[in-house]
Amino acid sequence: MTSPVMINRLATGVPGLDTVLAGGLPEFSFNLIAGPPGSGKTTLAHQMMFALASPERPALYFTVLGEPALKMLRYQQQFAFFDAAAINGSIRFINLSDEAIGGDLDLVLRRIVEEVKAAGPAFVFVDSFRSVIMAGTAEGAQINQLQSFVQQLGVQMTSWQATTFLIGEYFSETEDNPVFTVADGIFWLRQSLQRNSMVRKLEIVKMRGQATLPGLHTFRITDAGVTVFAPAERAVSAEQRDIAPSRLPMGVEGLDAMLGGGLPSGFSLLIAGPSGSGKSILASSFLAEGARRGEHGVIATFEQNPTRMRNPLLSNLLGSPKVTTVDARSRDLSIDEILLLLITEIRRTGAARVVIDSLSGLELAVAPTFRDDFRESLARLVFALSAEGVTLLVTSELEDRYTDLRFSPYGTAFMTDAIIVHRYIEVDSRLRRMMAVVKLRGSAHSDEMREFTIVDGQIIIGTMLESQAGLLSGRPTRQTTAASAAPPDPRGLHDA
Amino acid sequence: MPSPAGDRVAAALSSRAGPDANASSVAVSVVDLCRELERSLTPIVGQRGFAALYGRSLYLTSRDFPWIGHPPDGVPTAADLGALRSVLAAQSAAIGMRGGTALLEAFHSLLVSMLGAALTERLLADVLLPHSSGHAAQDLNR
Repeated sequence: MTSPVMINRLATGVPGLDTVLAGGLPEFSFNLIAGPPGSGKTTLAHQMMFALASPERPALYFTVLGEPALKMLRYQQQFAFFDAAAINGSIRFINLSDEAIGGDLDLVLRRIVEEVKAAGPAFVFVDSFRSVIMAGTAEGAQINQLQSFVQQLGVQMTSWQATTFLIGEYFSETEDNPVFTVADGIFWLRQSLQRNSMVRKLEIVKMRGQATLPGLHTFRITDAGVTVFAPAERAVSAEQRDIAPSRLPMGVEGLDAMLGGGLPSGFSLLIAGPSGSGKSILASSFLAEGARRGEHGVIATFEQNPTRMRNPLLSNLLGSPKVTTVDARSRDLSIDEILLLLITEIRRTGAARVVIDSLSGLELAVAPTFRDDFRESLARLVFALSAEGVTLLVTSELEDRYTDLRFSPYGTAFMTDAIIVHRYIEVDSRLRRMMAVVKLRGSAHSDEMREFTIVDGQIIIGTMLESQAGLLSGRPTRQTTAASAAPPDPRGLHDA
Repeated sequence: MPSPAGDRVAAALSSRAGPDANASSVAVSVVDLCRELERSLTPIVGQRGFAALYGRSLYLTSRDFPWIGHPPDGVPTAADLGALRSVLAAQSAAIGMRGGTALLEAFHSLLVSMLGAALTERLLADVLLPHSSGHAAQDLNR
């Protein structure tokens, strides 16, 4: 027999956590849930316990000298996962404060082992473990006694086939603590504070026997409990998506021709332009055209008062079943949370078209702690949505600068497959709008700069301003002689 | 007006004390019920935790029944149910029953205020049931 032992992976019942754990929690593992007070350790432990415990596989929750059990039960039952019917059935609470208060670690260990032998639980939780340690040191317990205690507990619990969690307040990962060595898994919960914003983050510092997703993963605690925003799993391979890149009509007459026949499906398109130039109207037209063709659309907006900010076309669309919106107005969002909201809605509705309106709003919506690496996060968002196979339209506020030519803030131009830019120009003492396709990856597109107007909430693309020169300067001048350059492509297209 | 919890406590006490209850049997019944509460809750809240809840219940009850006594000064490590038994036994059966019922009801209400009715019911499921101390049913036909 050469086959290795199969390690059973347990579903934790915490959305996103099994993904971060690369498939779930290893059975019979000895885990530490660590973090500062208020970081969500006890909630995470309870949520896992209620998901994991069953009459056949019960759980014991030992409370030591941490949070009083009465208070813990009082607050934990506010969460949707709390099931009072499980208490004294598949879940039993055991108070060890009387044993721990004397500081005799052997007595605590003996009591835990006795209870485990008597009940035969599949899951054991010890909360708070730091208080066990402090109780020990208060009585002068030596570090080797403590190490011996932790090792014995680990050995006993594993031998009794109990998947175990020690919950504790540890402030430093570098703390010289024998628990860290003995533990198979370490869940580290953090609270990242910046100004008056707080973001919760979880890291699997260690998990023996499996390659967990590295790094900090944001999570949120709501009435439902903990939700971890794991990086999105790829849904559709790039190869699959590239098989048949059909073209999607944009819903604005003339624009499809400028794009060489519409926007290739699965592409990401950035609409960049100054405030009020019609980016949101173009985005709404894109969704409306999809709805007209029976395709579902999803839009993420980040205004605090979305109803007031919406254009009439979008308001009508959101009243129809074909376009839905994600609620991205929570405080201190992370890109991963927004991505999860979008992907959940895309998968729920089978959406083909997705709009993010706008990047500027998105930047303000994410917690300050994420702004430093906003560009990287944005790239991840675009690539993940692209992997979902949807066609993405992103709007971006672009300050009109007539001394240099820019197409996007944040250096985002490279992230998207296509870019359309809007610009204001002054002609005959009027502020007029123009639009151009500046990028369409792997495809021919128009090089024309076309004037456009907004009439009754619709974009009407006009002609090129052939009589004007220097449009990009914002103050064009009337041309008096015909250009002597090479004749243009009669189709108005050029290769990308 | 008697509360549903009070009715249940009174029913549980009456069935335990029996129809010819005297001061002593009332005292034994109240203390027995307290011990059952202690047995149910100590594994969860600890001995000191139970003593704290009992002390608070005693304090609340003493406002209407001063003879039941106050919780001892300092931080109690265990509930002194022996003292309770003595003070109950010193009252008439009727007064002892009313004071004992009020104490157990106060304890129940305290727990409900902390944990809610559903979880309290769950934790005390086996305690506040009428005690079946009568004779076992006999077949009349042989």
